[in-house]
Amino acid sequence: MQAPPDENTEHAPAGAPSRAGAAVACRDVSVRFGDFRALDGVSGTFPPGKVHVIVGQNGAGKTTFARVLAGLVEPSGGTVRVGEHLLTGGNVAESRRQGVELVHQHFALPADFTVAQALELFNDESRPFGGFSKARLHRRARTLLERGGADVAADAVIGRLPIETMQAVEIARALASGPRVLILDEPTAVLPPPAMRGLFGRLRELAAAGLCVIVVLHKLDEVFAVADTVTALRAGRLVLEPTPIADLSPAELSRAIIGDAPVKEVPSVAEPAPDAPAVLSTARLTARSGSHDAAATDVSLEIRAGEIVGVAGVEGNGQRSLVEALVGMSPLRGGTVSLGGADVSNASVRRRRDHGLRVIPFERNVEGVSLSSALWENHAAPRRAGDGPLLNPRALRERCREALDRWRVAYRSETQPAGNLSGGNVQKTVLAREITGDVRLLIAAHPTRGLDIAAAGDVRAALVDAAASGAAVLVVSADLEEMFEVCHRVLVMFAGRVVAEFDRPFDLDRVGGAMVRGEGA
Amino acid sequence: MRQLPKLAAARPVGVIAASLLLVVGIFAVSGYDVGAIVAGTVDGSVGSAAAWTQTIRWAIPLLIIALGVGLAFQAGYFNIGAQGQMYVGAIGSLAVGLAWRDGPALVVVPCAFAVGIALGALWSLVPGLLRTRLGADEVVTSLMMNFIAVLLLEWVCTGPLKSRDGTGQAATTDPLPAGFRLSDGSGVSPTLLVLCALLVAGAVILTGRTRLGLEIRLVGRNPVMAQWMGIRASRVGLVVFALSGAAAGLAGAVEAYGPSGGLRVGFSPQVGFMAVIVALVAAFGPIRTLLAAVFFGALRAATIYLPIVSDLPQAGLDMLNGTVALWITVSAVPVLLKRRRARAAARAGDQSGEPARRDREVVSSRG
Amino acid sequence: MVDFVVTCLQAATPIWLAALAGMFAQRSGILHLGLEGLLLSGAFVATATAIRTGSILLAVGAAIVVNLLLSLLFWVLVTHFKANVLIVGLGLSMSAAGATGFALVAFFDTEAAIQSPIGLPRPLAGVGGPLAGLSVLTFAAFALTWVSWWVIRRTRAGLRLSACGSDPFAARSAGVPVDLYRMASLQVGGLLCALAGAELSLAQVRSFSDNIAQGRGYLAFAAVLLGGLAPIGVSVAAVFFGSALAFGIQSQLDFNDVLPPQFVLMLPYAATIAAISATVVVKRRRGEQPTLVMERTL
Repeated sequence: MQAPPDENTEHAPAGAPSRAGAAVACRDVSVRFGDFRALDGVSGTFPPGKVHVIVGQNGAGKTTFARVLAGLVEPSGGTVRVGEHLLTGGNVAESRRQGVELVHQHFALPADFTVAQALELFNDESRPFGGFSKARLHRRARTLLERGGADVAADAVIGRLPIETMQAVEIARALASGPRVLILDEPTAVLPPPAMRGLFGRLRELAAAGLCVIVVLHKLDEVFAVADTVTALRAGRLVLEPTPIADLSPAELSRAIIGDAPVKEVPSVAEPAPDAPAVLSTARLTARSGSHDAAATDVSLEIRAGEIVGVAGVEGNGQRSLVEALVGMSPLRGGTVSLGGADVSNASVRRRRDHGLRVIPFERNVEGVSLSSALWENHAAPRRAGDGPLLNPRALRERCREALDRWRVAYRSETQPAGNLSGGNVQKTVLAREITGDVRLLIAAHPTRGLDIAAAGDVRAALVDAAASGAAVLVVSADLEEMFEVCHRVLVMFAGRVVAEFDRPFDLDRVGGAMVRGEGA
Repeated sequence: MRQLPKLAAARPVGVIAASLLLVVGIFAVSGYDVGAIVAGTVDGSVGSAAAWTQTIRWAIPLLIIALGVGLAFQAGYFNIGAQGQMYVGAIGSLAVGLAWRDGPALVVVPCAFAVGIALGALWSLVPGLLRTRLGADEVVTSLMMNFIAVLLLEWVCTGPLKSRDGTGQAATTDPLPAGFRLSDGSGVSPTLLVLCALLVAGAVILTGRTRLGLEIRLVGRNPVMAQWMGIRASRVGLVVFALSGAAAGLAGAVEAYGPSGGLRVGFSPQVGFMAVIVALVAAFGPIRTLLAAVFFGALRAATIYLPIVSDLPQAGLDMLNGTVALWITVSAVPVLLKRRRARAAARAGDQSGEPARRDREVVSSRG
Repeated sequence: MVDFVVTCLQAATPIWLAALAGMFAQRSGILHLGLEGLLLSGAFVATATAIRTGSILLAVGAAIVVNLLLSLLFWVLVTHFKANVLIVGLGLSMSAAGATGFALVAFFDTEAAIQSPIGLPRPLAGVGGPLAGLSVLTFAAFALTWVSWWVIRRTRAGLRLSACGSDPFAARSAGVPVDLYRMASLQVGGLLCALAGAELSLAQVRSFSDNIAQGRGYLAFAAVLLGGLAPIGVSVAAVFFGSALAFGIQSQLDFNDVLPPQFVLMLPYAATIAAISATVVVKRRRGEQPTLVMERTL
């Protein structure tokens, strides 16, 4: 895969650019947001024809780096060259003219646009008031989608597409202008393993065709699966210059990423007592479908005290729908849910919480905390047993401080807004609130998504500890290795139904097969 | 952290001072005697006991409404229908008093106030229910309800409750029996002052020491998270709609039973919007609301006094309210010399950090 | 019947033009509650200039210039000073109401009305017939609606403008200068409101009186939402509002004793509430998240 830049586009695979790739060279790039140094003197050269991976923990500055190249963030110092051209910085149009395209983690496609309109939005070739007909718009879209390998109708509305299709459209639009440098920000976060392999194959083809491909990732196995060179960032600083992957061992790379921070050992998982009572049981639970998600259908499951059960599945197969139904965020369409023996099928979130339900929601920054509220207000958000209509702010602040200290959250004051904390610390504030003495059922949705290795280790240990002290735990995760590490049983959801159940020891291929094919072994 | 409150206090004061300068500048350019206007403003608002009375008379409705509106704003509901809610509250309470002219004041007046408060709350619950149950935007619906209430008042004053004596041209209602009044025409009385003190104390307790106050703030900042935590955002929403409507309805009843003793078409125009400004200037703190209400009440008093002493039209000082509104929510001051950095910072504001765009507080996806 | 349609169009034109202004602003992501203020300033400046210069072109031109400046102020406050859009809009409307009332006294020494000797041209006045009374701006409104439709639906600029409103991040990622697009749409809005103001004061009544807009700017704002931000829909909604106004005035004359005119005048407001609720319900049925007018943080 060390092919030299191939200027002859005839050999290029489908979707290849018509321009030759260009090298990206950075010198001393710094970005400051107020007092915070997001990037601090980053230098490196990324030649075309290769897949360059940027790794780092959360908050290491990977996304900021990608955005500097794309012109979305203006560097406060340093220079970026694309080929021979020196970027002025902070100018998306200029970066795009130089052939730099960025595929965003959460996509840059207006939800109420059609696919054809979204593709046209990124067409900067012609005059703004050059009119077009609908037919021409769709014709162009179909060409681009075909070239970009996206199987979707040109008049489909973006907001209603499944998330994988959205990514395909986003990649198609990035390839539309014939880029010389293609940057992808955490492209695997939304993909199931098989689609991930397809994506990686695609990226290697593009690199072989001469493109400069830069991918932001944070999982080591993914890095080794796709990278030609690896660059590591830590706390905004370059800790590993672009280095050929062959020269690195996983251990070396891991050390570069996390530095000397200790990784907490996840305690071994104890078997629940054989006579442990069922805490959660559902019978033929059928829920509503959420956005981008199938409706959980006919789900019957039981979790005993001290047991950790994982729900695996390609994202969008009903996991969110199931969790929302269990938590009480959306009403059931059929079936029953009982919690600790009490029927809570129609109970509110609050009633269920009174029965000992605790939740680590899917998206911590949206569903888990209020970023602009003080830490103590976040901590006091759920009503606890014995809380009346009146409250004592001083006591609540004290309670919050105790909990945060116990979970070793790095914070200055309980009155600071939660948004000031890093991702890992935010998740720990959620844990500090949710895992208390009276938890009977803990539902953890993607508890470690986006966390660095050290923080993820803490969270997994917390789940295991909660089970050890008698709680029933339901884990929804896209990370199979994580689930294999902490779960007693793993259920696989497909198209809203539980199609398979696996016990320890888990077999990656069988679980993965069930996720993709939708049938049990 | 410690600088924040200072800044928060400096901004409204600065904005008001700047707006004053600007408006006075306009008067000067237009050839008015600025000295006389400034003197008149001071005389008309705080220069004498009578002036203070006028100031407090106008501060009262502003305070009552702003306390309620502030709750709705804190919960993230932009209820701008206070004017209409005040009108229906006034109409309802007045109708009770006029229908039951001969009843004992101690029974009739509380009943009338209860009706006025309830009507204000109901009027506010229309946009409230449409918002929380259906998701229809309350900015539009509450604004529309204002216009409907204005027309309703016009109809009431020219139709069913129209004054029977007089020329027949005047669009006013019959006056209330003197025994029902809470104050004379000055609009200030011990009863009303005690009422205001109780309301401020209630607001202090509600925001600082009750679970509802906490839930209102959480819902306002992140309703999605609130729901995951077992707070019923829609119920909190209905409560604040009802409370803010009730406050406005109460202000209407106070107007009818206090200074006016009856109603006329389009009374106290702009008070609803001014209360919005008061709430924003005060950043929803009850004590600060009191101070801001007194300040804007003083302006109002001066507005009415000025045309008498100088030939400045009433509209002159109305400009000031608008100018304050223009600037009061300004939250960044771009320094021209540092424009590039300011732009970078502005961009960093909505794009820094890792997941960047989806982790801002989601206020729109409320059910 | 034709006469009534003409009356409706006459009443609707200012709202119509202002609604198109609001539509452009909102498509770019700015909620425009300042329409009322721009209507007032446009109407006052046009009338005052007409009186002082006797030239209808200068009158409309002066109104446009003033409104462009006010729109620029709006833009600076909202984008560079990060002020709350709704409050600034309301503030603009309140200031304009105060300022025009003040200027009426300061410049013309009257609190009542000022009469203009000239009015807007009526293209069909020579032809006669029922359409003779329509001002040139009513015809312009039809043309401008078509132009707006074309720009929004059929040009890249329109797509970019819409992206600024529905997903500013995507727009920025496409290299669209979001703030500049917002300024452009506010300027277009200022221009349209100047025309709307001129129509309001110089088309039929040929005079300006204190608070002549009487909430028409807010009706235009409602029409933008009722019409779902689509040029045709917004125009239909605006004409409906204008018609209801005309009908309310008509009913005041015709059957005052049967139905109080106030209830007729309530119609457009109630209809807006009903229509907005219905739209949301329909969206729900289709499984879409109802989109609120804005994401607000105060």
